[in-house]
Amino acid sequence: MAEGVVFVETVELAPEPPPSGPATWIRENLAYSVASTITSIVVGLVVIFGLRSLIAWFLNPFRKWSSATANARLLMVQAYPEAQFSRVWVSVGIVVVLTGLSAAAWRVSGKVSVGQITRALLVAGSTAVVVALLAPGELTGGRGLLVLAGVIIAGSGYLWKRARRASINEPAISTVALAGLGLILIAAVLWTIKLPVQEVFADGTKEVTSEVLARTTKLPWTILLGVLAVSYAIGVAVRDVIAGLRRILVGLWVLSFPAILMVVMRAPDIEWDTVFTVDVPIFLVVGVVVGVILFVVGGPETGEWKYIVSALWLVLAIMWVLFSWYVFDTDSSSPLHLTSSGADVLQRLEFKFPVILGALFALAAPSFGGARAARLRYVGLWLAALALLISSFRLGAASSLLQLSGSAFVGGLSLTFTLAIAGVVLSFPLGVLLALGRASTMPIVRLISMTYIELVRSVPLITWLYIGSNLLNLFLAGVVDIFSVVRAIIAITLFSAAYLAENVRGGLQSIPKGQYEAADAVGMSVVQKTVLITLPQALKAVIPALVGQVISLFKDTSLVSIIGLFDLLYIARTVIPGQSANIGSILELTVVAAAIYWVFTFTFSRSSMRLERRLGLGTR
Amino acid sequence: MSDQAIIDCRGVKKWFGDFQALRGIDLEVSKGEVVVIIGPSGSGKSTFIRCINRLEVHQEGQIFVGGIELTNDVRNIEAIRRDVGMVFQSFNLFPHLTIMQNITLAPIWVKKQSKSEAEAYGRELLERVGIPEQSDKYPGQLSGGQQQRVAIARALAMKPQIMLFDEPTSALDPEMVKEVLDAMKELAKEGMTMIVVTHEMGFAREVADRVLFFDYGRLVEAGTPEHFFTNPQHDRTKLFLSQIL
Repeated sequence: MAEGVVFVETVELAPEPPPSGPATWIRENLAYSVASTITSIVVGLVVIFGLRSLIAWFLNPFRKWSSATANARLLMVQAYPEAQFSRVWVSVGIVVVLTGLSAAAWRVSGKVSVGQITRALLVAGSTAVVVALLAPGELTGGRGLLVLAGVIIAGSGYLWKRARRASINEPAISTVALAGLGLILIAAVLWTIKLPVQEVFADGTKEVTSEVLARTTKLPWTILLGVLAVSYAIGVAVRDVIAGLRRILVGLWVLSFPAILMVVMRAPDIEWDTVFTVDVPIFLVVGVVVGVILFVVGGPETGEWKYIVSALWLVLAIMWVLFSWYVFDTDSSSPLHLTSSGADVLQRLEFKFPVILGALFALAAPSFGGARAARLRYVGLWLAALALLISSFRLGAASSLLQLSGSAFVGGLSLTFTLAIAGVVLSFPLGVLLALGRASTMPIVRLISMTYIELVRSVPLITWLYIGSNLLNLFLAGVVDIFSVVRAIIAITLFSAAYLAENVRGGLQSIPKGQYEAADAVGMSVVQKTVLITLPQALKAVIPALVGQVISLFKDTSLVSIIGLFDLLYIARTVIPGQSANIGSILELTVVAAAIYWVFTFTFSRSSMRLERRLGLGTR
Repeated sequence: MSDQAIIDCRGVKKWFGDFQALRGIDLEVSKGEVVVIIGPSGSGKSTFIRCINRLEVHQEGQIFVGGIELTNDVRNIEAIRRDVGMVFQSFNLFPHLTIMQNITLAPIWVKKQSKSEAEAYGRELLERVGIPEQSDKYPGQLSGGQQQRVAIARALAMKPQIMLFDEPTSALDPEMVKEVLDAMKELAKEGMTMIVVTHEMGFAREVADRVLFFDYGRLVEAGTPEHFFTNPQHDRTKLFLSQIL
């Protein structure tokens, strides 16, 4: 060895994999100190015994889970006439087709790595094993089978993971293929898995038989799963052919809700005579006259007269509606007696509301008009909005063809969805307007918005529902026969809008002053500045808050039982346990209802997280 | 007002509460002139140029831009803002829009140009400021210097008569200052009327037709760059220049 050298590497050290394995994991995460070891053991015992009693409760043979499976129809659509069930399936079918097409249009497909799948398998298998081992002794039926299944799943996952370690994080398997596999699996489950179903005969005897999960619905559900796959395939085929497919789909989604609710589910009895003698003429006259005005007002030259004329038009139209609303018959003994029937008033409003809508369009016309093409597009938008408004009037005024036993044609989960979607869709524009009003520089507008928000927020929703269901009918007695679901929708909408307004206002406040100045500096009008610059940024900033609000709105719909509507929770807690066969099943049904709520809110919060990631990308 | 003056300010005064930010500014700028305003912070130079497109409202005096007086009349304000482009210290690009959308937004919605026409001119402008390849990115993906050049392109997209620059390089890293100043020099060469608030003395010396020195809301001294940097007259100007040069 040369002079002065202390050390020379003789064997070249190769890189080693980091220490891993269950023992290492436990040492690093559960037992890294004395205190952590004790804590882990104590918490582990608590969890084990908690889980054990929970599993025991769920698997107890005395649980009346059959009360839920036997009443699935009641939970979903309440008393919707069985003869018209095809309408329900058509409604679900519309949603399924749109889902499939949208999944293709927004390219949700991706790749999953083998590692992710094996991890899922391991988790699923281990859970099965744990559940089977923890279940109390008297529930041994099927335990061995469950342990075996768990061991097989977990073991295959582990083996696969070992075998594919090299390429474990390489995304390789298409999510579309996985989803297809999932659909086939679901279909197979529908046809094979059996659950106890309790039947009560006329003489009062009961019999519990084993039936497949979806007794009467397995065929429609299987068809719908197929429809989902087919519509996805169609979407993939046309997504590169049809330009603006996404925009079309957004429009269809927006239209689908009123179409399902008012046309498919409600089955209106439309008098085509009235349509051709009243609706079509109104559409043509108002549509053409306002359309021409919009085309002129939307011209590229500026002028304050446009705003003055539109504002005047709006004020006059609103006054016209308000002052003709109450036409009292002074000769009648009752002070609330009205000269005109509900249908008459609706008829008059059918002409007046379009005039208000036209004024709103005229106000925004200078901001969104411009070149000939832009103006024509704007007039087209106006005609579409007008057609929607007039057809809603006709559909709302028509009587229903359904033979209903109860008051409303929606109940159970379908009512919960109706209220939640209508509440969100309607309260959104109102809330945004209120938020803008509260941030406005005009003191009167600000005062009105603030008063509304503070008044509505400080009173519980139940109170508003109650007021809505009782007072609304007093105010509008005989004018418009607003049926109970619409009253609930109005109350929920007005309530939710106040909260939404505060959320949006928070977003508006988060926008730096420089954004307003930059928009001002290029000469944008107030409407342009709001729609193009501040609002999109504000809404994006408050997506988490908005999602939270939608979730709480979805759950708050359960309060409508206070005004006599049969929503999911009410049916689960009161209606079904009231059946002689299902007395004492209230806890089971509540758990089922909770699970249904959870599935939808969890799906929603997950997809909104996806949306946030998507929107966040590229801007930061 | 002389025939040539495109901007004419007479006795402009402005208060923020009790504090008087502008104590009576008189200024005429003729077409094609490049005016650089320097001065210590708080001297009212930013406030003054923000009055020219009415981001700030002056309380006394008169401002004429292209012969139109700035009053509360919305039509006048919108007409003047279409003719006056502005570049801010903090860029103020719209973060939710791509670079091309940032540039074409105002031409499409305010000037009512067709989308294709606006985009063609937008591409030309991006070429001019030297970043044609960035048009589909978002502002957050660009460096400060690139963002400021986009901001210049955005202002130019409206084909303004006058450009206002409010400390356009103050928020930039030193190595990015040059690329922005180069874009501005290019603009000055093409004959754009510009008012520039800046601390870049090199730029003032090279490009300015006239340099103004503001202090305590007053216009203290005005002159050609040579006069200004070699032979300042006012004591306050001398002190300021001695501190920064």
